[in-house]
Amino acid sequence: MRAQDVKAFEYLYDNYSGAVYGIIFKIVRSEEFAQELLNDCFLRIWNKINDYDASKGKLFTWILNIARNLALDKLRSKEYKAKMKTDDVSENVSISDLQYSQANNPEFIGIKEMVEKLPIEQKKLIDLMYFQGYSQSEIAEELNMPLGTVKTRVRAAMSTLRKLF
Amino acid sequence: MNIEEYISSGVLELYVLGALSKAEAVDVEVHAAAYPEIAEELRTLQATLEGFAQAHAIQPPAHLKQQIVSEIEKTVAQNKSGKTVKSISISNTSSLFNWLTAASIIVAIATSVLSGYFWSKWKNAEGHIIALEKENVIFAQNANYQIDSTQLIIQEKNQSFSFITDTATTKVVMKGLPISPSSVALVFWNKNTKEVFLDVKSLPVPPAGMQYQLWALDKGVPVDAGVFDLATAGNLQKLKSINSAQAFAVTLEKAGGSPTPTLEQIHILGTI
Repeated sequence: MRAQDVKAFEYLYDNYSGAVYGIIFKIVRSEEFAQELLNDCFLRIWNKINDYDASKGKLFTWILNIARNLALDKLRSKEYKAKMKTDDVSENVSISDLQYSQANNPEFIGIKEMVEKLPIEQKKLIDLMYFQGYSQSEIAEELNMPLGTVKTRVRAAMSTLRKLF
Repeated sequence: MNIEEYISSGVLELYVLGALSKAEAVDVEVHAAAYPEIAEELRTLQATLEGFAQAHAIQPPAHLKQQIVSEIEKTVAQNKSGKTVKSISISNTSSLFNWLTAASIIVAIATSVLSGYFWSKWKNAEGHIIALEKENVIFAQNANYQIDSTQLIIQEKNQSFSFITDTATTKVVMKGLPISPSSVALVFWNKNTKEVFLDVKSLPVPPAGMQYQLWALDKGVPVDAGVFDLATAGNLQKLKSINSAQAFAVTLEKAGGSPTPTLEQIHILGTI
């Protein structure tokens, strides 16, 4: 029974670690933090799998939310802010460019170009929300636009993405 | 609610992108559970985001897997007691079904909450009925008691009346002596039945530890007819039966009465 659990876990890891690592990396933009977070994320999945509620969505969505929340927590931590201040920013940028060529799924190679098709405002919205954890009101404040406009743009951006995926 | 408007408002997109507050997110989940169209829209958006995430996939360094798996195996070894059973389902079943499940669970919860509400209402009503029934029983008991006691009083009065009007009954008026000039009481004595009834019209309240005592005087010899209190004044009090008497008198004695009357304490006296 236990051996089977570990086997199931390995299956889970093989299927989702790429996407999880990609999201985490996109958020913290540091290999060191991303590796630590990947470890934390899968330990949490292991420990909390009984909390997963199939009625609230697919397992993949649940896993992505765990990964994203852990990474955003790290992003806001003092430890992260102190570390990233001293690091060379350009190094991180070059790594981040690397990620798309390493994509798990061959069909998504060149995705960068596809995402780039998003109008710049829409891309910024997605980045701020999904990868930097801004709330809708924080975005409205940051981009100095009414809440209604934020909603309209987000909807437009998601509808563009929907055509891609 | 206008479902189309809700879907096009952009709130579902904000939900999947994690840009809603906890309360706003719960609100979306409630809507999704209640309206299949919203659940379907949400499912599509989640699938889009999953694709988006998959597109950002980066193969993590290979050594990480072994590191994580061995950590998991460690926790398995520690948990040999087997407290928690892990069940990992990796199914791709349409999450529409999941939303339907959620919707039906919410309906079930709502139904049970409602039935709980009605149950407590019903329970309350039942409680009221029981209380009313109890009140009713008590009221009936009181009414019966009133009727019974009234009948008892009537019966007593009738008995008194027939006793007093009996030709064998003699009325003796005892009048106040100088020690208590304004006192007066009546004695009704029936020569046949030997019964004695007393009707006190007026007597001073006795000092503490003292009681009035009725005496029958038969050929100059005082015979004890019993002690009495003023509490029931106005009603006839039945005292000890007396075989033969020519006069009646009341003295003030120590509580419980005396074997012989204290002559200087004769308050009232009446002769036949």
